[in-house]
Amino acid sequence: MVLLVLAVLPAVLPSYQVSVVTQVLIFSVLAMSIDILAGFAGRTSLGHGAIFGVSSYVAIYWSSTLGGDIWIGIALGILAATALAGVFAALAIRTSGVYFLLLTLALGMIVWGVCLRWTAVTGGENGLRGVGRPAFIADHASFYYAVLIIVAPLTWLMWRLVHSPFGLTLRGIRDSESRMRSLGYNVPLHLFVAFVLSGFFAGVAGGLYVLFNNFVSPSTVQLSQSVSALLMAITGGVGTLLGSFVGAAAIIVLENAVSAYTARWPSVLGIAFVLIMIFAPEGVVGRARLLLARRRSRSPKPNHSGG
Amino acid sequence: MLEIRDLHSFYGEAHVVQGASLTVRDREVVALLGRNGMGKTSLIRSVMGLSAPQVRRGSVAWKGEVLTGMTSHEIAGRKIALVPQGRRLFPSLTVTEHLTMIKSVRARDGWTVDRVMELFPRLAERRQHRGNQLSGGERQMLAVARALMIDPELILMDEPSEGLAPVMVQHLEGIIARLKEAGLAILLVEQNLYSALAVADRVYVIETGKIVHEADASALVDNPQSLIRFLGVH
Repeated sequence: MVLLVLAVLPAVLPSYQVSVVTQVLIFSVLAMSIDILAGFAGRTSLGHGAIFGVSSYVAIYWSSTLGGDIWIGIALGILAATALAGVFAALAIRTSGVYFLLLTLALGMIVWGVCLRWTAVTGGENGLRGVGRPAFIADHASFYYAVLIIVAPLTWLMWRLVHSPFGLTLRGIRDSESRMRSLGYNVPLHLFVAFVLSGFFAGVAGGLYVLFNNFVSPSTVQLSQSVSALLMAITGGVGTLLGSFVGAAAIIVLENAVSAYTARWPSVLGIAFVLIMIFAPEGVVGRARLLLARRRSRSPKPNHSGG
Repeated sequence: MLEIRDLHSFYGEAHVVQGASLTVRDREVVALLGRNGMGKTSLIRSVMGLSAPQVRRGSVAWKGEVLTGMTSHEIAGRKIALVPQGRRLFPSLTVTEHLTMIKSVRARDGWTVDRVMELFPRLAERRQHRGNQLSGGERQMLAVARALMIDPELILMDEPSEGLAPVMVQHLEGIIARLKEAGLAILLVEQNLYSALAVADRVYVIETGKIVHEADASALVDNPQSLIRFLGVH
């Protein structure tokens, strides 16, 4: 049903709105990659903006500065993002809670610093301009379809991942690491693999972003990128995975709509976020699920006898 | 099968296991009895390779292979499962998820979800309940069920009867007997002498980290007096 609606969108929406929806799809992938760690393994990362941005940088550097093929560039970008996630993971997985948050934040800041200062490669503050989209996806509608065709199976993959036995072990780690250890699980290895996979998905989002934006600058890898993607995941509902679509849509649409009326749109976004945290701390989708479950449990409760 | 030789374990400077030796043979249920704080849990945590306490001397061997120095997941890979004290479930996972985490629902070898549910019909009725929605007895069943999913040849059970109603303890004894029939070896840590005697082939008594007594359970059933002086129970 949802897919059907998404499929007919370009026919009914003007091209600007289509490109906003495209942006929503791309950032949903980034938000879901964060949710894999935050919602399932209980590790909230503030370094995913950097992983995402490095993928973009590598793809544009390859295709624009070196004049290589854009698809190979994107593949290399995803590879670089996955490798970077491996480095982040190796350094961060033994920590948890606020230490994990701060360590991934610091690692992201290093990447940002490199992108800003290594002007010979990254163009410094000026950033890098890409070579544009290949002809067959040049217009908004066909690019939208291309993104949809990539994002749909990616979403399915992530859904399968978090609902696989591996996903269950991540949730077990979130609940209690020591229990997982005493059951004989290699906890650091599981977290490492989860982080690297999550980095891969963030890298794919970065590759799509290159095609969308055709430009990358230090602001692509900076902290606010990580924070906004994390906010998308939280707004939609951490641990719901698909909530990321709702969160990304809410934040991007609000950003676009409100910025047309006032330059103070970040404040409006902030207020909206505060309201969500107060009235639906489980996120929009998490809240909806709770309400549904509550309605269902009004039918006679299964009895809890025995002991 | 399992051979513990002169094992010494420490919590920091506290010497909690002081040269314990014991054996669990194939298809044998062995009970390790002792009062609180005598080193029972420390002993099986040492067998499982859990980081605290620290093993400083002695060895644990399984089928001739030395386990001391291995990590817990390597030891679990050798088909040794732990049912930890206090059940240690995952509050946010459902009954089914506790089991499929370890082995897919589609698995057909060894202990499958279906086979485990057959052993614990009570859990089958609670499939979609989360760990924190189960009663004490159900939690214990799930902890045993989860351990079975790795297809163990040896199960270490840490005070499974603790805090359970007598009828549940009896049920658990039945389960242990059925697991023994299925060919498993079990090392059972217990405070409850009569529960241990009901299922064990042999019993060891541990006191301040040392094994102070060893006997066949059958010899004790009629005359548990000899143990009572060690355990201070009746």
